[in-house]
Amino acid sequence: MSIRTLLPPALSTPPAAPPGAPSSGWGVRRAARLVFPEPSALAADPVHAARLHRYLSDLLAPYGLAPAEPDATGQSYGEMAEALIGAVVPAGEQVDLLVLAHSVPDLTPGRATACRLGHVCPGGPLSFAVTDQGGTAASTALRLLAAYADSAGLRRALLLVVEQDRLPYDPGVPVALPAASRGVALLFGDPLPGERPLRIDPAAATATAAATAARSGTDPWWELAGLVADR
Amino acid sequence: MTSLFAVSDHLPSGRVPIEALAGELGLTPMQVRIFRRYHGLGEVSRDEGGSLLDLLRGAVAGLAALRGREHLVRYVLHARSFPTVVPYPHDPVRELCAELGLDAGVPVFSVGHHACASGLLAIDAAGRLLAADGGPGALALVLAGEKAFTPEAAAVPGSSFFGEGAGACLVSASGGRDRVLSYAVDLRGEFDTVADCAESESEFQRIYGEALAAVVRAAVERAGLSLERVTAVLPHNVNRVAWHQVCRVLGYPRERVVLDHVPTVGHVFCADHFLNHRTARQRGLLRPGEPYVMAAAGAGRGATFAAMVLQH
Repeated sequence: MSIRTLLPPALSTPPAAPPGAPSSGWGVRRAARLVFPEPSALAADPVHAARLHRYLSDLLAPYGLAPAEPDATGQSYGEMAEALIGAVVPAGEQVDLLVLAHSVPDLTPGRATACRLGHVCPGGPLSFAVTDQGGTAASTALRLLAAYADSAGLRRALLLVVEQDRLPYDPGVPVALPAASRGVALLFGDPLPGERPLRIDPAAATATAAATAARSGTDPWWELAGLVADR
Repeated sequence: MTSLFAVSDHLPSGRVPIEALAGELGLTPMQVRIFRRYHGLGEVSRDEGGSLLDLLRGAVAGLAALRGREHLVRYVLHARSFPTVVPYPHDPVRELCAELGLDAGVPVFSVGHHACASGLLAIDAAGRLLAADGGPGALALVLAGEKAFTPEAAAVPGSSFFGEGAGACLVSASGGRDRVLSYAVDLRGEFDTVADCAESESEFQRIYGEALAAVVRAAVERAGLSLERVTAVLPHNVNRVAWHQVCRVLGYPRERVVLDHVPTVGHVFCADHFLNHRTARQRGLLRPGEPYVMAAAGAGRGATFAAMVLQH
């Protein structure tokens, strides 16, 4: 059991400098990006497949839609995120806050995946998910991450952006899916000795993401992770 | 400081006795009798033929304070018990925002993975976004409520039945009728199971009362208060016996826990707190200047216990 207690934020007028402002060293300390070309092992589990088929059938029926025939494909965002956590959180470090963002639904549509990630991520972070905002969910997740870092002191923060390339039904309306299943992890925090975190203005990132909203949700973050890796 | 500027709720008129759900949920007559006699559950609300948009529209219709303030809304958050509730990329929340005439550039999104405790997360998150932006007057619209569209979203195994309904509130960072004093959350991801697991469910039931009581106590202490000062607890409507157990652990009088809707409505996903807020006001349990608690346990392939202290 690990209870986190938070006090409400104080309103600043004019706005307080965001944690990524130049006066603070807070920023992206490390990044990881991974492609997931193979389907999740869970997709081939017949018990899971039956459960998913029932869930999707009932979800789609009011829209006059039906799920595609099960084909043992699809990605578990829990599995993707666990791989990203392993790749980006250094041994011995802890995380205070974890925010998971995606637009395309998970292979496990009823699972509280972020809650699970709070259990497996070092530090037992406060964790939650931001979804249902198309390609801009991750930018809102970043705004929230910065707000919690600033007002709740949760400065060791991990942003996870995941998207899969498969939707197991025809939604009956135009939909753009990513070309590949990919995930990005950005580890934010104050600099350790010798580090020079990449500072990001959440508002500017939101504007950039909004301008590229039609692209896959991971695209701007994939490029950002590359920038961090090249520094 | 995060506060609730206005709160509303909507319950459809349909009611279904829990006995009528037994077949679909695979419950035996004995299990149903236990739910009715022991857990205090009886009927659940249903909006037959209605959509999620209908439910949310109903809740916002009661939010009189929104009229004339649409231009002040900076964020719209849907607090989710279940991560996926409509086919992607359908977006009834954005449809509602268009109906309301909100600025098309306002971020509209869902927050969750705290199951039925996600409503408290949404309030806290909305307040932090507004505070980070700065400037008084800005509002966030927090919505809650879902359809019981599949057996997994129709019942909490061994605990409760979901009722259809919705709630809405306007969150402000600069004052209002109900100020947030503290928020406590205990994420228990060890209870995550991607497949059904009887052992995990049993262990969850075992720790339930103590864990929920612990977050209530932690939130009250963080607010610098004692439990005696808390005039009411607005619970999630899981069932009566679970909350009676929490009251025993806390030494808190059960008559001050708003359980009125458990037998007639069921557990309305993340919207219970909004519904119970109205009932607590009507019963005179919320008094100006006095603190109260909103608390919930979320279970659904991962468990979350959360509590929030507010000052009316």
